Amino acid sequence: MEFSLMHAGLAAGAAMAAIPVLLHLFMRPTPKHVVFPALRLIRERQKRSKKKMRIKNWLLLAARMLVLALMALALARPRLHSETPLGDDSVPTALGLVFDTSLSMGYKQNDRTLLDLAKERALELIDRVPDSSLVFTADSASPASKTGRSPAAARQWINDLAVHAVNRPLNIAVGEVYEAVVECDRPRREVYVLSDLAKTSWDLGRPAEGLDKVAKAGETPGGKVATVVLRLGPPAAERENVSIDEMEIPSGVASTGDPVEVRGLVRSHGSKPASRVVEFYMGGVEKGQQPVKKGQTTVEIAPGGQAEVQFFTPPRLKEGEVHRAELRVTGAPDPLAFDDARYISFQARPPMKVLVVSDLDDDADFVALALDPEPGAGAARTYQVVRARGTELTTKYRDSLKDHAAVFLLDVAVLDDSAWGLLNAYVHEGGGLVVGAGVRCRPDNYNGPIPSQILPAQLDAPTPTQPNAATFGKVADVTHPLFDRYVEGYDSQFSIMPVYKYWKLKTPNAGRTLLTFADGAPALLERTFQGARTGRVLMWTTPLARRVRRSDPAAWNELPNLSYWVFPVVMNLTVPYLSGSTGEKLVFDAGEDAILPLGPGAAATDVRIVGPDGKTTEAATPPPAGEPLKVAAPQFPGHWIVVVSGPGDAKKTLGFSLNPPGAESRYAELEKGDLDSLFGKDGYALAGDDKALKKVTELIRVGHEIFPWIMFLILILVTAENYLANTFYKEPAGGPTAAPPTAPAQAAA
Amino acid sequence: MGNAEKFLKPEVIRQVARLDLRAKFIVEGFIAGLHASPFQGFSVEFSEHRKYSPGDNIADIDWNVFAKTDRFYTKKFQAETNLTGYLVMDLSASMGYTHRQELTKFEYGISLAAALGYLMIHQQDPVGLIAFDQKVRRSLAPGSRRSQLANILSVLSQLKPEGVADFQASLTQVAGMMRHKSLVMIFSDLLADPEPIRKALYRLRYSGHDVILFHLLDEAEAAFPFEGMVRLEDNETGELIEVDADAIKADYLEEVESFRSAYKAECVRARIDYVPLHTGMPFDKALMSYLLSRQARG
Repeated sequence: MEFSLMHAGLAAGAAMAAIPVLLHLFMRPTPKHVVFPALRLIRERQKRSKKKMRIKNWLLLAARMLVLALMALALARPRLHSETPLGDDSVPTALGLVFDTSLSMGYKQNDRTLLDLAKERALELIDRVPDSSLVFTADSASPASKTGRSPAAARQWINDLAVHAVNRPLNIAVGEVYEAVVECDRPRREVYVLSDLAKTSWDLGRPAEGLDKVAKAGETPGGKVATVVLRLGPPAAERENVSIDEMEIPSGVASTGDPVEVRGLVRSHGSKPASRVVEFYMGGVEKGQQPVKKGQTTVEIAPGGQAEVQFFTPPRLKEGEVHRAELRVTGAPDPLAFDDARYISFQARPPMKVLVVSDLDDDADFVALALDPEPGAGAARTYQVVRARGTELTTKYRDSLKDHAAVFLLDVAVLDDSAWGLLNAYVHEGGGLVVGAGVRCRPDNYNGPIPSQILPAQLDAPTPTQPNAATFGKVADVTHPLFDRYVEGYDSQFSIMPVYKYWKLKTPNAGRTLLTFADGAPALLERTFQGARTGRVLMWTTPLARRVRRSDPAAWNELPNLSYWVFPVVMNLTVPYLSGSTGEKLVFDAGEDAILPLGPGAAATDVRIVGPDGKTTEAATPPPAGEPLKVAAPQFPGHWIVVVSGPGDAKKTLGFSLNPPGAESRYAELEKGDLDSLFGKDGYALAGDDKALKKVTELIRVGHEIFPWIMFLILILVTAENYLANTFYKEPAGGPTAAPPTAPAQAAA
Repeated sequence: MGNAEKFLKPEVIRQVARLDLRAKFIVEGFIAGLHASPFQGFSVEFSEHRKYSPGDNIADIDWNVFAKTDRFYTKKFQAETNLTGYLVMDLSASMGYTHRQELTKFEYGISLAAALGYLMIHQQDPVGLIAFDQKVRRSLAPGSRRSQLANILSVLSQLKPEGVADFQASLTQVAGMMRHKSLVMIFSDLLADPEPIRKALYRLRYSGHDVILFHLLDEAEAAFPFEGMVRLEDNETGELIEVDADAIKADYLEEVESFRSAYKAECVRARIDYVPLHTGMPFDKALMSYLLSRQARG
């Protein structure tokens, strides 16, 4: 907190405080000579009260001096301030404006969005700086320009602002503006952050960027940068919002033939119960084709509660086509519109065929059950598991092996060369093979020349059975599609999952380790084969089966134990990964790269991407043949259409859906501690509304005027001075002392 | 106020030059005041039997008269024994002080002493006079003749307050001069060390005398009317003190009050009548104190 005077010259008047002293010194009257026999009484009194008298005199003198000094000080209009005091609005200013353009800023209050309010406040701020000022603007959606704008240009820029589904943390935008403002030569520097202070708009793990530059600038005279955070919108407790948080096809696959179940989760974020109508729409991807309402349901949601809705698509969806579905919440006005709809796109297809090869049924049961459990009534099958023995590979599946999405080779003792050859061809043509090596595997067979061409490593020998079971270790490649979703969950499960035995490996052929045991030995390896389609081989060095009895020689681990959820999840991710359909996801979050497989065939010659509004069309670079199309960070939530043109008149229409980040719906406001950690404890001023903003701005620009307080102090001092003077020099009550009545007189009375 | 009573005022009596007239006027004014007051019965010179009226003390009814006349008469208030009085005057220089150039403390004191002498002689009480500073300077043996009053007034008019008082020595000397139990009336400003004064007063009381202490201060000493810076001089010691009168006034008045209170408390303990006076006060207060004391002894 600093102190300044608006009229510093007038403060020189404080020298008037010396007047009482001078008057005392120079205007001291010549004392009158008086004969006074009762001098003894004065002397007696003085002995006792000399010190008291001196203090009284000093007190009076000090009070009078202080009154004069304070009057001079009051005339100089002193102010207390903590930032950059440069007086009124006429000072050229480097004005930084940081806008939160996240979706939560679309919240409507009195029919105006919070972004509208932010714009209004920002325009008022610009009105209060002279035209010679420079305005540095940034929003959370796009990088800021380091070049300052004139107030007029800034007004135009602000008017064009809109909310965006994809935003950077405001820490970055603030840092960009700080950097520009610090380098600006305008004498006054202010940065205003206009936000609803939703936690999702900030990276709370680190402070706002550029604070070091601000601190450095603050060390130079006049270099201070004042930061004001303007909170927009009502507090969390007063917000009402109903959102669709999730929409999915629970079975994970839309099978042809049967109606496909679509589920949604509707949540109320307010303090009041909500009644809403949820509508279900479906449509195709052809341009201009509007979704058609296929159903609706009414939901009653308790405050803070949620409700699940369920709809079914029409039966017999066309195979191979992209279908679009949409849930919309209606039935009552909702202040936050962006989360009132949610979108999915999907392709209907038959269940994937998976061939599970084993010598014993026990070795195949666990994988088969994980991929193709007993289907419930009406539920679609994602995978169709076919069991086979090793000897049947060449006899029954020589021609149809390529129709299988994946082949599992589970603890098969030996395969003949023709079977290995068949598998070799299969993976080189883009097929996926999973090998689970167990007690039955014969290393000499698996290390033969043909298997070595496809297996990631050669088997050495099984580890001796350990009395105390080891466990799996950590996921070696956390970005791998098998593990990237639940890395921490995997690690915690693997770390307690017993492994009694596994195959030690010889030198790896060309594989890389995806998962290890606790001792660091490889547990899962992968080998890939590039081609029109990427072929993949995953090799587990311990079987994908367990035995009930620990003493069973085939009991090597507890990976498929029902106590752990890892096994079915990994198995269900394995097949799409091996078949190359992992990239067939057609629902993305806004800002996430959309990867769309274009399928086998000749390379595309032209790709057109149509946005959710149906009007915006962009051309994209066609990917090489066999490669998926990457749509980089699409932003607008809704259904997107991709039209791929091939040689000749070949044309294929694809689509995908984009949803806004769900966290924006769950408004959580920054707390003071969060702001303190973002800007430093004394690094900012918080304004709750426009009045507070004006007050804070005035405080920053001209400080806190303490004139009234000084006048109040003067009043107190004058009163005190009078009181002291009257107390020290008071006349006795009733004038000259009347002698008290004597004892005899009292007796007479 | 009657014509005679106006002489109870110091500012009036100071215009009367002759001390005998002063005494006469003061006493007559005092008596005139008494006739109109509840203290009527204290009159000695004009005492008589008076018809009983409701409100009179029943103890005062003269039953002998009632037996003879069958009427209620109250007793006369006449001293049954003669009371020897001594007027003791302090001759210290401080007694000669007056701020307003009216009556000095000494003049006020001798006017009062003259009036008391006048009163006592008219009651046939013998009265004497002693004046002291460091020792007894003048004295007149008690007498009750009319000529005694003239003698007293003559001596009083010749006295000059010039010295420094030594109370202990002087009052010890005074006590030695008194052969019978007497009423000692001391007129002084008591501006000296209190301890010797206290001892001297006790000495008189131990000798069996009744004492009335008339504590005389100048009006300025009692009220401290000064303003601004003043240089005060003690006319006995020549000591100078420069003070801010406004600043010390309240303290000074407190000190005066404390000064008087201390003497009053001391006198109460010693069963001495203490009468604080200043030169602006009417004389009747002092005379009334005498009469009350006289009544107590009667």
